[in-house]
Amino acid sequence: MELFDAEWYLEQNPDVKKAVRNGLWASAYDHFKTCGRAEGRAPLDPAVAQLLQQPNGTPLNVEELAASAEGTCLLIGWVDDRVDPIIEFAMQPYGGPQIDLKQHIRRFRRPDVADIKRVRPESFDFGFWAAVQGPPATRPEASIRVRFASNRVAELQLQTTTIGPIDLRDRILGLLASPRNRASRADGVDHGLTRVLAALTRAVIKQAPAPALWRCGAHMAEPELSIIISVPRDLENARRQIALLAMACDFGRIEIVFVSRSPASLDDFFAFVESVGELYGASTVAFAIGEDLNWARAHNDAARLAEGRTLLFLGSTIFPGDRDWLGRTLVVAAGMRDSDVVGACLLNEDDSVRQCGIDFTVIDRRLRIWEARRRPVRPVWCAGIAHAVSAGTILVRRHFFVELGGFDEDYIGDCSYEAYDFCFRAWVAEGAVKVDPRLIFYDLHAPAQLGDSVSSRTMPINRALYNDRWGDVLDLLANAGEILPTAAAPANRAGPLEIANTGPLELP
Amino acid sequence: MLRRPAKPKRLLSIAHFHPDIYRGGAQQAGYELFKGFDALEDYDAFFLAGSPRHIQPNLIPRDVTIVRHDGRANEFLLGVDTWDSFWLSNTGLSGGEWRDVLGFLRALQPDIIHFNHVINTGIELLHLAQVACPKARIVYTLHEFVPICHANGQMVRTRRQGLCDRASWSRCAMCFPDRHPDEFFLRDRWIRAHFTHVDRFVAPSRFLLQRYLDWGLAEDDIVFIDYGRLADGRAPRGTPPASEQRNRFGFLGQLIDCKGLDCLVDAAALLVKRGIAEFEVRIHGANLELASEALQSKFADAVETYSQLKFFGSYFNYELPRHTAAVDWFVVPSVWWENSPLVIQEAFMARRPVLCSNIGGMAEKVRDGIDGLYFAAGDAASLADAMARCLTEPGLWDRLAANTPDVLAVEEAVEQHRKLCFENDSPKARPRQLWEASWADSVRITAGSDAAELEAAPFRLPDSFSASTHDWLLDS
Repeated sequence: MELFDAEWYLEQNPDVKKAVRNGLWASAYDHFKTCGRAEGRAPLDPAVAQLLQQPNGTPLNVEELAASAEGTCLLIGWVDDRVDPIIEFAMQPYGGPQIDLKQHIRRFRRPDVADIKRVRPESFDFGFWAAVQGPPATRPEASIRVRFASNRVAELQLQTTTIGPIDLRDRILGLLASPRNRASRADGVDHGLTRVLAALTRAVIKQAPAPALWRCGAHMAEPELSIIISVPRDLENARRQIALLAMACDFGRIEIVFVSRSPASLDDFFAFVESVGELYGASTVAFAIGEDLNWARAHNDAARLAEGRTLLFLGSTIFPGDRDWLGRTLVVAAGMRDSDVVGACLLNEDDSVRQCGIDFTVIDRRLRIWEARRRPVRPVWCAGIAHAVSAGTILVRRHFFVELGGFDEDYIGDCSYEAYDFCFRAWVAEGAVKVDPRLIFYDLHAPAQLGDSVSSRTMPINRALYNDRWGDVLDLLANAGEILPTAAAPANRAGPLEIANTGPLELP
Repeated sequence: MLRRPAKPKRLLSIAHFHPDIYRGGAQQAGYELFKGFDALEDYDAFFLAGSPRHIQPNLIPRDVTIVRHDGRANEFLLGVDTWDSFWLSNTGLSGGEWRDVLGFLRALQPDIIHFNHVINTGIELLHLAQVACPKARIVYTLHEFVPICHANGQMVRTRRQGLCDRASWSRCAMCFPDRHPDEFFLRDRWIRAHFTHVDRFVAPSRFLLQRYLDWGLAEDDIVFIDYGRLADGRAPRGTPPASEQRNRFGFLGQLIDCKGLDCLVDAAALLVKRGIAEFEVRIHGANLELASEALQSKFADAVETYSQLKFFGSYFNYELPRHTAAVDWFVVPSVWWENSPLVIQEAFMARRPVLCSNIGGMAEKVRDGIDGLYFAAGDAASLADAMARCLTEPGLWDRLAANTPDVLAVEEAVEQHRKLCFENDSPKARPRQLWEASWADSVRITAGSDAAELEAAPFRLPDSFSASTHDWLLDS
């Protein structure tokens, strides 16, 4: 783990600052790794480095911490400010007063990271929370104040608190929100935090207890189809989605499994599910997990609960294309092979197609041929074999999904690359991935008001994992002029192809 | 207990407000029609009105969804806490109160459910009505363009206040820059999907009817029936004006920006500047507090400056005959399209000519030079010219007043509703295609088609497809 603070480094080393400005070095980090380290220059403020170490000087061992998960933990964090989203190292106990560090955090600003400007500050509630193992005796119970180094450095407040595994999970949301976490991958430099956060998240996910199950409506044996719908916090959007899905069709022998990953209110969520059962005649199963940690885990749990032979995963931004959507879905489901993974034509509001992060213009009025917009790649005959399909709609046999181990839970946070990873694994297992032009849905992000979800925060982590695993395949596809299952170019990957989830899902 | 007299037909009329609580043309027209049905021998009529709790918090207890109104056996209020004007959604209803509403509808079991609006009560009520009373005919009277236009349903551009002739997702997003076209697209589909529950739409003006045909309603799904009015206060033909000079203009309506009060004030000022001072503009209306600050301020200044402008405040319906008798000419200067303004009917009921903007429902209801005069919408000089003509042209008033048409009586409107909507034996004409995309037919599959259809169907590249750049596909 190597932590590096570019701005602090340049401030401390005016010669390097000048050299970087003159173009002799690509970046501060470039200088540090090439010669700064050897010259004994510090990569970041020693006081900051100290905060991220245990008392004995060793780095955090978060895996160990999460494994024990109980005990006294020292939380170190920073709070995002509405004005400046990069306020770091300010502690904020829940409900406690905020420390205004605006004057001091400018040194953490990273002008070399362009996408920080696009951050929507209001979407951050909490900053980074890491956890340090240690018995109470080694840590004071009360808050302490630590002064960084010189006068110009902000005052920090560290707080000792006892947390259990659930509280720990509760704090990971903030942890994932760290702008430093985002920044660390954006410029290809691992400042160390990314791995800490990912490891902690994965460890906690594995500990997470089975979700609370709630079923309403009559139990349906062997439904024709299990539709798994991800419900965002905004239930109004979910109501609109289900109303549109249900308005012109009869759910009949269809089961709906609702997954809520951080409901604002469990009562409201369950009342919503109950209303779907009563108002739209659907057999519904619902479960909620407390925190929005992991899309893959939640959807795997949903697949465990589902009883249909075929699963249809629907994202919260997906709305039906027309009144025949369900009939056509059932026809497609009836005709698919057991190892098929089928995606849909996902339309924008102007009836162009968005699939796997790429926009296409529809050439053929039956929606069979699309041409990629602004990309020098071949068009796709969408009825043919695809390499991967978006997570927004995936039709798959349940037993095949289970055999493959479902979505890989090593991808953390909201959905980003899990579906592509699953498609590649299906392909390795000699399955076929298709887009079927008879499945037509609209993929509308603005009405769903997803905002800056956890997805954007965990995207760099998941992209790195995806590229590590499938980089070789992506290279092959790119060289063949094919459309890649993401608009992101493979970059910064290392290591050989790994196949995730070696075993099937454990069923209840 | 709901009363259950042994009448063959049961009608539930639903409105966004009860006119007792919040005045406005649409709820007044809906209520008068309900009263018309209530008077029939063979109809048992009920009225359910939305009632935002913040307007009259004392009328509906917090924990009660529906209450009887004013001790009347067949009038009810539906408490509304949360109204989402974008989605036309009563979010409280979808949150939990749907059970109470469903229970109410199931207990009542109406044969006909007549929606006068979905504002406040929520568009979801259409679906609840369908679930609770699957055999009931659902009729929906359209009073403005709320389903088409988020700008208060007026089809007026929000930025330059220009008239809008059609909605599109991009145009709507231009009016509301904080919303994405996606949202307008989904709003449109959301509304159209709910409209699939409606058996028949009613348009009180042909202008509005045409707008909805352009929007996508089928001709068979919508009929024209004007508002029918209760006979109270209808003046006999030949009723003389109260003044010999015939120099009193009247404005009756809501004092909000889109009603063109601004234009009327400016026209009065122009007349004074031209040296014509012997006239009165009598202004009656409510909701000035809802007008823009600029209009409120301008109106207050003008009333103080010009003695010709006389402001009388709000009025109740029973006061109308007195107010209309004190007016020689009605002015309807709205700067939005309007539908079928009740004030025009009220003018004609009092045998008064109408000066109106030359657009939309106003231009349909008033005939220029026959029973009224047009002026250019929003153009104070044009209105001033028309007013000057009224004040100076001998015989004009007598000629126009003599031609004022009879207004449809509520009894006639009831008959038309029975014949065209409520008791029409034609099969339910559910406009199911309403919310479908242009591509839907091309991918439609019929029952019995199987998965092999896709592969088996002949596939031909479109002519526009360039073989040179896509030869790999042809090879395959």
